[in-house]
Amino acid sequence: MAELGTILDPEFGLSIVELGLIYDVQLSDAQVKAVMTLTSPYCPAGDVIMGGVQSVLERIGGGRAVTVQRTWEPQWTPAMMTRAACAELGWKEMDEV
Amino acid sequence: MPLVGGARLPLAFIGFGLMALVMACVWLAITPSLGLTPHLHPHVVALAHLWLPGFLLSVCFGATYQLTPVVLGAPLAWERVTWLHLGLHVAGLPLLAAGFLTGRMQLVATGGGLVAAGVLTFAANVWATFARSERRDAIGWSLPLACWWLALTVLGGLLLAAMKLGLSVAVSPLGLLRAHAHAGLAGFFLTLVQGVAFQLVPMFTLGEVRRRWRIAAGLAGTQTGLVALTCGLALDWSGVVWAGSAMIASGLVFSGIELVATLSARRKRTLEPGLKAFVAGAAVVGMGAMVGLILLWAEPGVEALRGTMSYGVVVVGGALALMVMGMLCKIVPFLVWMRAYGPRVGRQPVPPAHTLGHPVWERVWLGLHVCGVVSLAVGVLMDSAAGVRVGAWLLAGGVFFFVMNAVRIVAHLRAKPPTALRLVKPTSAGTAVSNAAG
Repeated sequence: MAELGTILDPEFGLSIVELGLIYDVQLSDAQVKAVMTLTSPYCPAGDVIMGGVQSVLERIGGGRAVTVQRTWEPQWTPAMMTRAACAELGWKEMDEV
Repeated sequence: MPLVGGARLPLAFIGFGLMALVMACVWLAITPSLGLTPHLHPHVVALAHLWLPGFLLSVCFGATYQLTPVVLGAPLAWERVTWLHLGLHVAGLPLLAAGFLTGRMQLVATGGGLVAAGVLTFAANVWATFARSERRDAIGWSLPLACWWLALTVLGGLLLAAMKLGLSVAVSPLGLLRAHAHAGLAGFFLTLVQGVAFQLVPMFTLGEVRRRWRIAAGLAGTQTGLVALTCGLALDWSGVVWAGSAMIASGLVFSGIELVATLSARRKRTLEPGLKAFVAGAAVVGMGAMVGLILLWAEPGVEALRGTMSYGVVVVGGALALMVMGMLCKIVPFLVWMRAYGPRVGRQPVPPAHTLGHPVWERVWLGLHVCGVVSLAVGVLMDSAAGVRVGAWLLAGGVFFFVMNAVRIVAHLRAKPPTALRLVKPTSAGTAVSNAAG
């Protein structure tokens, strides 16, 4: 997760982990699989962000096969952001989000 | 969604548009008397065409080519044709402006014909993409509808040129000119903004549309009103013109309410200068609609003429330019970022898109631009040469900072050439699975 946290959303400059876009990462002997979403189905940088996740997992995967799966279930909401990400966007209280 | 033309095509249109803007602003700053010259004077018509098809339309072409696949969720129907369009536009626009400047209508017809041919390829491309997509809400419909009005605008312009060259048509040239102007200003730009804004604003602010029916009602109001307005203007039916204007104003009320609601729901609290400019431009659209309604009752005369010209300055320089330039503050960094840094994501640290520009320069541009438009509009209204001169220089100063900021952003393209981009290929609806690593 820490490695994936280096990938920033280009618009907001926030880590995709802090934005809550990474739902799951599974590591097995044969493969690494990440399940993630985007802030919007129309996100124009979606392919680039997913390509970045792919690159990171390939780098740290030790030769395992890498799968990046995009899902809209559950749909992303701002409530999935971390407190730090909310603060970065100008929110003082998580409840407001 | 891949970059159209590798982002070079949208950026080329935007760059051409900014060149036209610089020329228009420098010309007005050097010759401020243009601001007090009647709007049918060839030089004023040339200036208007540098601003409208030269600057605003060129920029909208570039942005729309990139946004259409994003909004409609389908690849652009004919990507290669976009380059042909660029060539037609770049070749035709200077001829069009030069033709107006020198009063040579054959040059106007030639340049206008090239621009119109480009517009028709653009419209056909968007229509074909729309036909292939599944999106049928108001935001999706705004794109083909805007293109419809644009096609009508250029065909009306060509008809005007043909009438000047001797073609006899049972329509008043002045009425047709007014219909041409309103089909372009309200038909294309407004329709585009009324839809696409509700895609972009939530995306840039982490917000969400609150009531989708208000977007549809706003679009329906302006479309119905535009049909009445343009027909009424062309055929000189004042009652229909008034009814059309009222319907457009009612459509704008719905769109305005939804824009405020969408912005209120944003999660990104701080608005950057670009978004502030867009919101300010949208507010001016609302005010402009009210002023337009008032002008319908104005008695013909010198005061009404000054009022109309001042209204034009506010609508073009205040409303449309602020909205378009505001969105450019977001779109240009994004395009450059996607091309220069997108392929490096996950491989090395890359800067966020919003850090490519200079926020202080953007603020200075916004301040100078707003002051310039106010001064220019008041100067035109009061017949004050000093007011027009100050406004023209403030406007030119603002554009200087805007262009410098754009150059600074585009300079990021000179960064080390990226390695081959590896994108994730969707394999089924709703989910996408990447290639396994080798």
